Amino acid sequence: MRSNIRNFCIIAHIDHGKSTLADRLLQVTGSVSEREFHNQMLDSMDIERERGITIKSTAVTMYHENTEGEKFQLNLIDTPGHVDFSYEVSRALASCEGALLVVDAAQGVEAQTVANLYKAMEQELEIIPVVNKIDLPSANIDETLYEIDNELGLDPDGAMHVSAKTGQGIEELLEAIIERIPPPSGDADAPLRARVFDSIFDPYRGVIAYIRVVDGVMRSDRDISLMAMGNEYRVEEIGHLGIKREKCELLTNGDVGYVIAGIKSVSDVRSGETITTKLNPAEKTLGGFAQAKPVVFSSLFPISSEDYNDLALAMEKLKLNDASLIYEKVNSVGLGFGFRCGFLGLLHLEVVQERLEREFGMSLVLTAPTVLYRVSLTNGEIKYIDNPNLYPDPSRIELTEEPYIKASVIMPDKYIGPVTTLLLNRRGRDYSNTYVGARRVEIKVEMPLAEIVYDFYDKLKSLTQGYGSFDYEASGYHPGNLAKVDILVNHEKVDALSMLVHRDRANNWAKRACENLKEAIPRQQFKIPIQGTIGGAIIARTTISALRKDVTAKCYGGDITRKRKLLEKQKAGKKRMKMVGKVMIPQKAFLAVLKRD
Amino acid sequence: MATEKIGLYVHAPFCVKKCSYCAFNSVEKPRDTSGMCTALSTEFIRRTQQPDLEYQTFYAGGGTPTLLPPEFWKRMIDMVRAPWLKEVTIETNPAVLDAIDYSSLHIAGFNRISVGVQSFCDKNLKLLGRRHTAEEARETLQLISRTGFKNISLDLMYGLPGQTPEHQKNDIIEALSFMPQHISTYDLTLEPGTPMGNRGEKASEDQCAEMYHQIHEILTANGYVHYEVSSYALEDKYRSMHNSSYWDRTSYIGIGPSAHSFSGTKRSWNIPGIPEYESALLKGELPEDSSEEITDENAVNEILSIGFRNTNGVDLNELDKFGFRLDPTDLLHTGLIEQKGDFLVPDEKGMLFADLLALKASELLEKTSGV
Ligand SMILES: Nc1nc2c(ncn2[C@@H]2O[C@H](COP(=O)(O)OP(=O)(O)O)[C@@H](O)[C@H]2O)c(=O)[nH]1
Ligand code: SF4
Ligand SMILES: [Mg+2]
Repeated sequence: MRSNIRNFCIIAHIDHGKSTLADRLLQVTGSVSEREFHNQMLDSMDIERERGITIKSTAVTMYHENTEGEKFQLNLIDTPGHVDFSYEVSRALASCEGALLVVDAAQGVEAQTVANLYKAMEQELEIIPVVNKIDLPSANIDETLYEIDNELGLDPDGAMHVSAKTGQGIEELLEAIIERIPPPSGDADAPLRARVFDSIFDPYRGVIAYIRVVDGVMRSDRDISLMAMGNEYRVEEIGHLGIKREKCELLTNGDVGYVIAGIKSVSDVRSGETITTKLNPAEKTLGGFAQAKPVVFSSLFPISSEDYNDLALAMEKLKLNDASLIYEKVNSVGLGFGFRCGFLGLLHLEVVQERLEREFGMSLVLTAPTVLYRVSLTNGEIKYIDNPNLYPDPSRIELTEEPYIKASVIMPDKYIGPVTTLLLNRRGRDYSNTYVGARRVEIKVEMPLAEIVYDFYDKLKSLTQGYGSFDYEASGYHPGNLAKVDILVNHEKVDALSMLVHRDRANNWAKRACENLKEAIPRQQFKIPIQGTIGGAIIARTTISALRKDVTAKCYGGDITRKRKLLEKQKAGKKRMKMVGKVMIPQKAFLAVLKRD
Repeated sequence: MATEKIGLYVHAPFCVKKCSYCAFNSVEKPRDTSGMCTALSTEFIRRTQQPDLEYQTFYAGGGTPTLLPPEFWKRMIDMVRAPWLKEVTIETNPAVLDAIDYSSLHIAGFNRISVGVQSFCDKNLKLLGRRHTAEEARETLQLISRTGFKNISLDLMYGLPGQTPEHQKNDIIEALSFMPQHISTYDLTLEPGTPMGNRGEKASEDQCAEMYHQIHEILTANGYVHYEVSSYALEDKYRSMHNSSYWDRTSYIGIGPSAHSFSGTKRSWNIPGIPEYESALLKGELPEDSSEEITDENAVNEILSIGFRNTNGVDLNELDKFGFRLDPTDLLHTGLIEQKGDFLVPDEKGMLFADLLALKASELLEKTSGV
């Protein structure tokens, strides 16, 4: 047992102050110099900073002396909070002994707090409730403590009161971390076992795996093996994760750090992997290794076909750093060559899209995301279909099944009506509800995964004003009566707009898709009919009327620059449209088909 | 020494009251305008006293320039002291009928006046937040023609929320009854941040297009030349010289807050803020906000964004001078333009698609070798 180490993470609903608290801890412990400091130190990707979300787990080691002058090593493991990355979260939580549960004193307990608290409890972490933002005039500390007690079932007397902004209460919090979070257990003399909780790709060093040593000692220059994948490597460098990487000679049980070992791709060393030594291997893995499976599929195409090779390169590079991304080449009649991709969820999809566009300068069209259907053919063959265009002819199909999930929604009880309606409208079944706190209800329901793929979170969030938390697990395949709806734009079928839809929904779906496309496709000089069809029969139609004018009324005096900039902007906008036949279809139209009311 | 033909614009940033659609740089007129007058003359003196400039046009715009005293304008015009000045325009607004001394303005040297009537319907005027009635607009027009102005331009707006082509016809017919030498008709633009822009209401695109064609039909039947998307002249000689100079790459100097200038290779613009503008000049600085060098590519994009808006069209030779070639085949297929010699000229419908044509043309540009 190494009594001077504490490993912990921070759990918080978005905007409750996780990043700010991490910044303060780094400053108060002197882990970062004033010169080096900037806000949101731990969020390194642009997307993370801008959206205020964490995508990759990371860790940082801080040192702090308690009041008796004893020095402690504090390892903060920063984890994503979103359900798409819940597998990564669980691996990071498994590497900690404690968690700070941050609650905004002005907002009270909110959705993600609950979902992630349960995950932390499953790992039997010591939870320290932290009431944050006590400096705000609108802070309601008593009410927040009441909720911590009643809605989370945690002892409110043990809650720490801090302002991550002003630094108030941070010293006391550090004391509490040292006092209350147990030191890591584990056996220093046992064979090495270290858990990988995330890894990144560095163009110069290859893969850098973030690890928590559970048993034994890891040294550089030794041969290691990855117990799940079975590969062997020689350790080039190990170290602690300060603000920068700090090389060292050995990492002992309880330590959090990194390892560089000539690993080529993050897919080779996934989260949950157990590292041991080749010479004296451990007998058992640390457990908990699973490959996160993609659940949502979509095709990506470059807006202009010449960029296909660039996209292929970009995908390869992105894959180096994102083990969960899977893809293969596809060809679409309207859109040319692209990639069929699998994602962990919609946030993952958005992140991949954004990174391709920003880090690699790609302009992309994405097709409507779908799930993985299981189709039994009349000849006994079973096929998994993740692309509507590969859906077999109905005459050859014996049975189609779709993936279901067991969903859980927790929310204040006043929202139960609208949320129930939402879930039942999304084909929810086996509905049940129970009170989990004084005024909080949990609804459980089984429903098709396809029903949450698009705009479900947004709907839930707006129905519950952000207080509904949602989580789910897969619950196998169940029969579904599906129809393939095709969309014709100006009499040409656009295969990228085809969708598999529940048959009872097909007519409405097609009608709405046509309406949405009418909104999303800009008027052109000619009339554009839009039709929805099943097996060639037209079930919905709209028409985009011809453009009647396209000129800005007034030229503002001598401000010709403004006119030119407008032209340049339009030109850039047009680069984000795809020519299908004679019609320019903007990028957003490919997702607009999915928008509900 | 070679002289250069040039236009002069002076921006008077004051109005009686802000109209509901207006995004021009103007504020409510303060009681004392002498600070602005001094600032404008100062900038004017500092920037225009080069002997080799041949001022062709002078344009007092705004805002409502007639809210500044006629003596001020007289001094400004006198300062140009240019025998070349052909067109000297001032904009006005019927809202200040009594207070404006139009004959003094005429004597000061203005030979053209542009009257912001916008509509002859009180309901519309109210909607637009104009501070005058239709009757006051009529009186203003009569008064101005009595004071000796022989070149009057009348501004109308169309595409207003609730307005139908039928309605709009009344405005255009009444405008004709004054027989102005020039008529400008602007399709309402919803400017973000203005009250009307925020409300987001406007006649439908179809109705606006219909109104545009209707205006064209009525005015051309009455002898007007439709020479720019929003501009009609009773005879060619009444085309707005000053505005045309914006389109044909003549140099111009813009005086006043946010005014734009063009030197042939560089565009620059002044600070928009009125106090900042005045204080810069008080400190002896030029009030320039920013500027940009016009690259050859910028220049051709400017030519394209302006060219299809008027019947001069786009001169392929000129594009060539900047090192770009344009194969017009695809553009001609749109049926919106004609090729006349080296010029691509939009017809009446074509001007209504000027932005689309510019975009298409801009995508078809090819760099010619050696440049
Ligand atoms: N007044 C006040 N604002 C805070 C405090 N902690 C965080 N904030 C603000 O709350 C917002 C969200 O904080 P952030 O750390 O990004 O939250 P995260 O999404 O949980 O990482 C930011 O604008 C912070 O400046 C605090 O203690 N007091
Ligand atoms: S009078 Fe002209 S410049 Fe003044 S507020 Fe009205 S529209 Fe704008
Ligand atoms: Mg954050």
